[in-house]
Amino acid sequence: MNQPEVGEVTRLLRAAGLDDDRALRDALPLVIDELHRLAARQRRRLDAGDTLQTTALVNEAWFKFCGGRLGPIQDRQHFFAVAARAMRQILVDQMRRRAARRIQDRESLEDAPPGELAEQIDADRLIAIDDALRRLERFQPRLAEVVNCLWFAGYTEKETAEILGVCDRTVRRDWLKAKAFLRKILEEGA
Amino acid sequence: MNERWKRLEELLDRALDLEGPERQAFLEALGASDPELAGELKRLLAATDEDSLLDRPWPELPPAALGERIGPWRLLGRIGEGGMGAVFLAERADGAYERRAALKLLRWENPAALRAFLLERRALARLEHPGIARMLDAGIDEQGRHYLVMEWIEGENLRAWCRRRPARLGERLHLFLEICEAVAHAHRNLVVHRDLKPSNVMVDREGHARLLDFGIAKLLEAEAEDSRTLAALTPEYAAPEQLRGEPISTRTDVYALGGVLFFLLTEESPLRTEDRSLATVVHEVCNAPPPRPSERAASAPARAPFPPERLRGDLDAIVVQAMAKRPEWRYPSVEALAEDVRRHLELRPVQARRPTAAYRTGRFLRRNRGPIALALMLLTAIAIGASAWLSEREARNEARLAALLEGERAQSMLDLLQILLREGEGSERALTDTVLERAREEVKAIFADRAGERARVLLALAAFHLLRNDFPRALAIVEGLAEEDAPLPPVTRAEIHCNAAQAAARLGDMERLQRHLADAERALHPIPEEAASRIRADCLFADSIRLRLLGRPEEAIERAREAVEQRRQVEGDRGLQVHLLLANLGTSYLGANRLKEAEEAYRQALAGLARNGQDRGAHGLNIRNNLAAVLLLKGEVQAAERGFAEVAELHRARLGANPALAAALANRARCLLILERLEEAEPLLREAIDIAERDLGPGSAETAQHRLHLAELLLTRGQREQASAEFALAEPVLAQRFQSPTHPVRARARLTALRLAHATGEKDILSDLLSLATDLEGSPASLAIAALAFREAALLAEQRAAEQDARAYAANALARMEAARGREHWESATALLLLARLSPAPDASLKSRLEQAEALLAHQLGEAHSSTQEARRLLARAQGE
Repeated sequence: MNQPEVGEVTRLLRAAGLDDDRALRDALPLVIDELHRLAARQRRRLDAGDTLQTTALVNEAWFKFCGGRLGPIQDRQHFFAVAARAMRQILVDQMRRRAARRIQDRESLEDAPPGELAEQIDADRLIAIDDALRRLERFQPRLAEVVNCLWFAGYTEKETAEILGVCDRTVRRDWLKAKAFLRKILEEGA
Repeated sequence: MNERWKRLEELLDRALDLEGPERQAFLEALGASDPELAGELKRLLAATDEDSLLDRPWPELPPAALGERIGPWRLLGRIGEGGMGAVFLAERADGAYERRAALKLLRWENPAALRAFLLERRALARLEHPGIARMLDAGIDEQGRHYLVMEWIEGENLRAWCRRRPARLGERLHLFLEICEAVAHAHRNLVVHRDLKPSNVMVDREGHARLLDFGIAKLLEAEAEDSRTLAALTPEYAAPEQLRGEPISTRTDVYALGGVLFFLLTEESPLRTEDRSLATVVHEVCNAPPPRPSERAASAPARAPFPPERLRGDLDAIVVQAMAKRPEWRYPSVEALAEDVRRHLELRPVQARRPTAAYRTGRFLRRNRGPIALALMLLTAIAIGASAWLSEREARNEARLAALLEGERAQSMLDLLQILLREGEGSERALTDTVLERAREEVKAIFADRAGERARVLLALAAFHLLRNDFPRALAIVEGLAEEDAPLPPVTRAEIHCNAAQAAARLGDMERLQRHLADAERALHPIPEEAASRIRADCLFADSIRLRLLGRPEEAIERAREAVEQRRQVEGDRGLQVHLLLANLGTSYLGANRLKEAEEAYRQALAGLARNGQDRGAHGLNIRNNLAAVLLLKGEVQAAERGFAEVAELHRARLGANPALAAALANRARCLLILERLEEAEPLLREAIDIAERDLGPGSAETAQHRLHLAELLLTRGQREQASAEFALAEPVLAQRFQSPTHPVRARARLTALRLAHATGEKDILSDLLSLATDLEGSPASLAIAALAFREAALLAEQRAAEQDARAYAANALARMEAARGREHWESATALLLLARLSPAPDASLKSRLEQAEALLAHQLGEAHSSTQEARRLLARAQGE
């Protein structure tokens, strides 16, 4: 008997990438705990408050996977990286909608009560970071991935290194570079 | 755009590699050629140092407030703070569970550990025992907080209970027995507590003991490992292996129970931790002798609940044995500990006070740590339906696990077992024979109506027993299967007989071996040659052992080679089994004294194992040891010494003290003895004797052989009396174990006896030496000893100036040694040196042989060795003439 070259999760997830939703369903029990944890962390990072409960976030992210809409999955690690990005997008989109509604509700920010104002500013900065990150994704996808895993998803350096298949040192270096480039993008506002 | 970013990233990388003035110089150089680019790079570099929103720490987890919900639980009151986090009184918010519960909110998040814990939870939930507080729930809530929920126990913990109750020894010991019973129940279900201590023992309103936190301590340890700190553990009750990060077993709990008993007897923890650094405490746990309750009571009589004289004797001995430093010195099980306490209560003699009992425990399990134990655990877990008990190690095989739960049991189990076997080291739970036996019964019951599956599972079980060297049990299982008349496919039949043959071979039962081989052949007959290669390989393997035992080494080699070839057909050149069979081929060569080929086969086997990541496991160590032994036989003493040293180190690190370590140490000592490094050899031999005596008993052949070597060493060093004493211990055992007086071990002992008699001036041994040599003449395996006897005779004759006699004896010694060892061996070379020294006018052929001997000695024993030096002197003398 040969040791399988790829883990079972990986096999199922790969099959899922090829529009096989049944394989995806089979994989769910094997990844659900991790997804749940990921969702809880992202909510915390993005200060999501009550906007979207953890379970709902997991469900939405999962829904995105179905039908292969998130593209082919290479392996277990890749799956979680993609899941982290999907969750981030769901949460940030939610924030955008809220921000848009608030602006609609009020003529100008000056009318807002101070507490809400602070929240709004934080939300704006997070949205800006998300925008910058999307730009970074285009030019330096790996740097963006490091920010995604380390900052949004809350993986440790070690876990991030595993997810991206690089060494810890590279992750630390990439983090520095990503910070620099994000800063550049934010400043240039382009 | 894209190009420019790439360029910038490259430059940033290079700049980040540099520091201080070097980075400055780099930027200046860049600025000279492209000031705009340099400016951008500078800004990027500045941003790497700067604090930004991205450096904002993680928002704190929201603190838990009363009335708040955590998962389906509502918090009612705060009970306290434990090692893991806050503890709350809680109830089910949805009323699904009516009673109150204790909810622990974990302080940290360790998803991997929690995941493992969640897997294990089902096994924990099954721990139904009146003495164990039940685990009700565990999970992650909406906020991401990790929590555990346990049954709520009304009562007080052991500490408070002891303080409140008047001290009655009988009552406390009975309570202790209750605690033991609960722990034993958990062990029978393969759960180790890992953190037993008075604060984890509750005494309920009815005065019965209830244990908290079963299986939870694993989370603590995972955390401690992550943060590289031991702060999470309670060192007062932690066993040495826990503090050292070594494998945990049921005996870890035995140790902690010893501490709990100590507490019941003295109302103090066994270890005083106040005002002492963690390092000191750890050192004490690992090194200081176990504490005696009576001594503690004597040191503070005013505080002690019981006077020292009531604790002295039995109770001291029980605590000391339970808290022994090495797991194998402790009671083998909680039941054994409880039994001793019961014996004490009933005034019967306790086991702990019999000196040998402590030594006899556990070597069995110790030998069988690692993949086998893990696989067995799995087999058992499945057989008794506790598959959820598997943890993160098996997470890689998740789908198989899922399949197991759903019913394709036999096949999946076999797959998993094989994977686990290949995965090598790593089991942490000890398994007992009882558990195995139970597994066997369960397997029979589960597959009662499915003969084929039952046979396969039982064959897997038999294969385990073969691996752990329990040949009688393996044989019993497969012979039981062979006798069933259920219709089985011929391949399975063949496999059954083949396994039986292997077991019989290892037991040396020739009659059975031949019978099963014949039956296997018959079953294999209708199957096409290429279809059952695996089983054919196994049969050939058994046959090669048979031929080796029959003293037909060349045929054994033939079969062993065919076995390798057959197996290659199954798994190609890279498989594990091929290499184990290659090792068997090596042993067959060794049996035929074809050392070069044996060495080659072992080396190939080891390389193959290394490719499978198994070269440091039990098989790997075995092969390494054999390889070093071949080197020693070839005379490559220096290389052999390094080999044995490596084996000993690996053994020590991987498996701890065990008879194989003792053998490696003794073998290394033999090499060192030859290499004239006596100071290093002595402690090794003493340790080898200690281990062998403890694990195998003083009457074992191994212990006696190690002693014989020690006697030789002491004699070489001129410590005659000590040498005689060791020899006197070894000789009767050897005489009993090796009945034939011409067996090489006996022959060696007889020679040593004569040397001792000579050293003490007892008698003239010359004629005895000569008759010993004559006696050994007909035993090829003892020919080298005959040569050594002649050598001694030659030295004696030389002392007495009987030069002609001396020369004649030396010539005899040389001829026999060369016949025994071949010319390319240091022992032959030293025999030659003696003859050359005794020959006044060496001829040309002796000269050229001296030259060869000098090179050989320098290679095998080293430049500085006295024999090498003597060879040079003799050579110079011969050339001078």
